[in-house]
Amino acid sequence: MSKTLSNHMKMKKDQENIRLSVKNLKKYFKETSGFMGRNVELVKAVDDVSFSLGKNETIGVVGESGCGKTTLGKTVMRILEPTSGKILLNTRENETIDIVEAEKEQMKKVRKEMQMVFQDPKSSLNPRMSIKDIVGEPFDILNLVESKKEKEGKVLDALERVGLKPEHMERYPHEFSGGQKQRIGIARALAVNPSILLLDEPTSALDVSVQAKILNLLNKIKRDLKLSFIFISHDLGVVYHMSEKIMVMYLGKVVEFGDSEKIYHNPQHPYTKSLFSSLPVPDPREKRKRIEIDGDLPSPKNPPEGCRFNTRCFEELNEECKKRIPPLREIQDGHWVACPQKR
Amino acid sequence: MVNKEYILKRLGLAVLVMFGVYTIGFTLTFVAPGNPAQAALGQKANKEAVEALEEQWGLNEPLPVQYKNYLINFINLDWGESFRYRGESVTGILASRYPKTMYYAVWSLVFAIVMSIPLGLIAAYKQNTWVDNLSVLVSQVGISIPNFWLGMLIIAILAVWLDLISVVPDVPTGSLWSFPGFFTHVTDYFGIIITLGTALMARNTRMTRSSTLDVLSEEYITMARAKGLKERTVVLKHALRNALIPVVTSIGFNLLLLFGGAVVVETVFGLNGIGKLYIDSIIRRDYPIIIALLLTYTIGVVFVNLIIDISYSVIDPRVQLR
Amino acid sequence: MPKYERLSPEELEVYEEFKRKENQKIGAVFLVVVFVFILTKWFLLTRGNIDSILLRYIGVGAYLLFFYFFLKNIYRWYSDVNYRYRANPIKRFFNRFYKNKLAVFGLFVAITIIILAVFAPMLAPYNVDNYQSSWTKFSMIPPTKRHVFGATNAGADLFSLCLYGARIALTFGIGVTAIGVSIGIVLGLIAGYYGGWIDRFLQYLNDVVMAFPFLVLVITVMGALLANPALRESVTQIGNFLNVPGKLFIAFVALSLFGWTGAYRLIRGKVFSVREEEYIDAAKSLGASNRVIMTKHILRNSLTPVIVQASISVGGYIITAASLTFLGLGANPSIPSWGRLLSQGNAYVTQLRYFHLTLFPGLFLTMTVLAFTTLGDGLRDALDPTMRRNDQ
Ligand SMILES: Nc1ncnc2c1ncn2[C@@H]1O[C@H](COP(=O)(O)OP(=O)(O)OP(=O)(O)O)[C@@H](O)[C@H]1O
Ligand SMILES: [Mg+2]
Repeated sequence: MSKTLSNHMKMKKDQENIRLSVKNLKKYFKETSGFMGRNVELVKAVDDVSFSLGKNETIGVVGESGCGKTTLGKTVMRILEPTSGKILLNTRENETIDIVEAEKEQMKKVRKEMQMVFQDPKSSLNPRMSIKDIVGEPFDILNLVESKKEKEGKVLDALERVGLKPEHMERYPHEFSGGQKQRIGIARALAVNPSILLLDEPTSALDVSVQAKILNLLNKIKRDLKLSFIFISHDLGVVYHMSEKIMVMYLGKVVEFGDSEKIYHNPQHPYTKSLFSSLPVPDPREKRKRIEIDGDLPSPKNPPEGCRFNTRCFEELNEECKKRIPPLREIQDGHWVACPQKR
Repeated sequence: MVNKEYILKRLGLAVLVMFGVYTIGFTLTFVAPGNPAQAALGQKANKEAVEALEEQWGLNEPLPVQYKNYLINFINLDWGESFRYRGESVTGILASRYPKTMYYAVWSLVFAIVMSIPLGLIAAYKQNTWVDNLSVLVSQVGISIPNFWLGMLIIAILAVWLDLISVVPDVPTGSLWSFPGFFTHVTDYFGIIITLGTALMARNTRMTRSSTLDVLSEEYITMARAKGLKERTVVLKHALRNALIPVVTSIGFNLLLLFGGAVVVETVFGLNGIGKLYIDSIIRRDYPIIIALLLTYTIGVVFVNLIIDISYSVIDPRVQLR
Repeated sequence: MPKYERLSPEELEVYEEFKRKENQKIGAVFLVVVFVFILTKWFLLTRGNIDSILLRYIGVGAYLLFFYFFLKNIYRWYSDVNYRYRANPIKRFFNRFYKNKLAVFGLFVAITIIILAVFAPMLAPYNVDNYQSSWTKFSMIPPTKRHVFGATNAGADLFSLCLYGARIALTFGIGVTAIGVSIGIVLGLIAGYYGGWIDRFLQYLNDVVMAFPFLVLVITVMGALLANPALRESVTQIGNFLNVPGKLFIAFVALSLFGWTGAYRLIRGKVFSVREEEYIDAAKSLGASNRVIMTKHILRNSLTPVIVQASISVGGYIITAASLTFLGLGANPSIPSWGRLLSQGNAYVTQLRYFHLTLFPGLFLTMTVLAFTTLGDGLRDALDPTMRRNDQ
């Protein structure tokens, strides 16, 4: 017997171990075109996504470019207004806040609990602000400090934590390398002392050698500060290395979710299979056939009917694949798949 | 392929802008009463006569009605009579003034383009040499020098002192636009052509220079050079075409500048073109002329812009509305 | 945290010493200049105009000296010493700016003109209060030792008039720019940030205003304001309240009314591009309010092109104002202005012996405009060398 994810969440016993639970989150963009914007099209960038994030846990979000990973992150942060759904945050003071409905005062608490590191270190730092101002900005906006001196001290702490030197404070972003910029972005996110860090492809813009350093830094920070991560990436190896759970997205929908070991060694959804088939196998005895899926990602403006993957699926399609949007089902303990053919 | 939707949008926008121009023009003339009827008849004229004239000109109607009527009349090409030159039709007056101004406007534009493109190209090609510095200096001065003062200098130095050119020739407008006349009369209007053309030349030189610099730094020029093509071929074939684009697309804007220039410079040269007509009409509150001149000129410019943009979108279909 | 952390204590000492010396130098030169000015004035008052010419040259020389030290000093401060130790945008700006000779020239002329305008009553050798008075024996005299630029047809000293003309020109140029830029910034921010129908409406308004030649639009507005007694009265009243002569204020209003489009377009475009940057999202994720995002992030990143454009448009408005007075529409005839002087010159333009009436006011006008144009260009290159040239 299979249960849907939201069913499962209700039944989950260790409720207090949950930091963040997202329920049926949707984010649709309206795109207008034509004379005076008469044609309106909906871009379903995030469509009915549910998951929960435990304490000290990392969920890795993977999927190809344009599948809605960044949008998911920004919607959870409420940088973008969600179209519908619930985002329940359990704060360290054991208060539960629905981010979607939260008012100004509550949002302030949310900001102190959850922060984001952005994809492009070049564009995520204001070129006209010194590092001191950039990392100090959270303190100003959230009124966290009494005096300039206190702020400076805290900025220094944040910089030290990410491996930057005090004399970097007075400099401007263009004087830093990509890796250093990303460290500054991490320092800014850590400044408010959050419990959840949302990392949107934090290393995709960096050289491989720098990537490893940043990933190690993140792991260390997570251990030291007991953080939960939502780690967005399209690099499966990195995600596997970083996370306890993996969530695979395709065209705004979650197609597979579960413990990373299970997904890595035993992917179920055809899309996941094709993604993972391109990875080098750590154990040479394990055989993996390379599966190429053809065709481009369909536009999220008019996604295919039924299962969204049915235009590129290599398995034999049945009626259900073409008609019904498959729900996430738990096929094994801690392993959910949205495919009509897997039960 | 011609992008029909783009052209329609562009056309719709042009009509909307013309409507806005009409509204502003109307507001600035008809709303400000200077009692033109009284002015036309003289202070001693009796009340009945003034009222009769106001009725004839439609000035007794409420403003919204005048607004509507004038627009309809304008579209029907019935532009009424001048308030100042009683009995003369606006159409007739415009027809006698336009050819003259357009004559030196066209020549100024030609002068500006012919001068600026080589100057800008050479400056960009020899960036940071004395040629470049000189061209930058010339274009800075050309932009900064007030056109009416330049006109005065040209009259005083070239015409009076050195006696090289003649000033204030009264050429019949018919011969300006005839075959040999179009070219032979350039000498008669040399002063004003240079005066009006200098600012445009300066602007276009700057634009050509900077767009050529952009092009020269682009990949394919480097590629072409690497392939061993001769420098001159590279510049002429690739750079020139791209450098021309901003100059051509700003022709409409240049025409606008020319109208603004003519308003002052025609006073200096004592020429009776539309610039002089416009300033006289403003001072005398000759509404029909003011509004007809504004509309005809701006329609012309909007139309030129439209043609340039559309033909550009045909050449390069990637161009979209904003 | 020490400010110059990369300097060793010894170096810091040397540097401070250097700064102190330069400060003393500049202070000394400044004192000399003030002293010479006072002396000049005193001589003028006590001994008539007889020996003032020599003193005037001394004054000019002292000023040039002062300016030279001023420039040299800033240059030293911001390039030689500091640049080696800390890369700072401000210092790099000065470094680049001073490499551009034309821009330094523009800065020099602009500051000179501003000083001449501010101190015109002190510097002008002759009184110009009733410069329109009747024909005198000085009428239209060509340049002489006492009247270095010659005299007008009313016999007034042209040099003094040119100095006073700088006041009205700069008031127009800087005043209209300030008002236009302020309006433009506000409208641009609103349009760019909120988008939607507000943006469409403002964009439409901008398109309509841009369909007119600027001078023509201003002339038309002035015509309307002058013809309508009620409007003219109310604008004049505001002008009186602000202690500005009526007709002048009307011209000022007419110019300011449409001077916003340039800054508006720049800011709007910049908002659209800055809005997409991730640091805006970062600020939002910290809970920054719209006001903070607008001022701290968007405005701060949009100001560079606006400053450049403002500097260039100062020159443009000075020309427009001069054109208006040249056509008899601008400042009251009783106020000395370059446009007015040139329209007098235009009446005598075919008589070469009266050429001074054309030459000198025009030179003042052109040099001033050129100064602000080159200054703007220099600023553009120095502030942001990659900035695209938006010539229109
Ligand atoms: N503001 C927006 N308006 C309209 N559509 C948008 C907007 N932002 C994103 N989209 C669309 O939503 C979809 C998901 O975009 P998103 O940036 O979330 O993808 P992504 O998974 O982060 O891709 P990448 O790996 O390239 O970063 C895309 O099709 C994109 O075009
Ligand atoms: Mg993304």
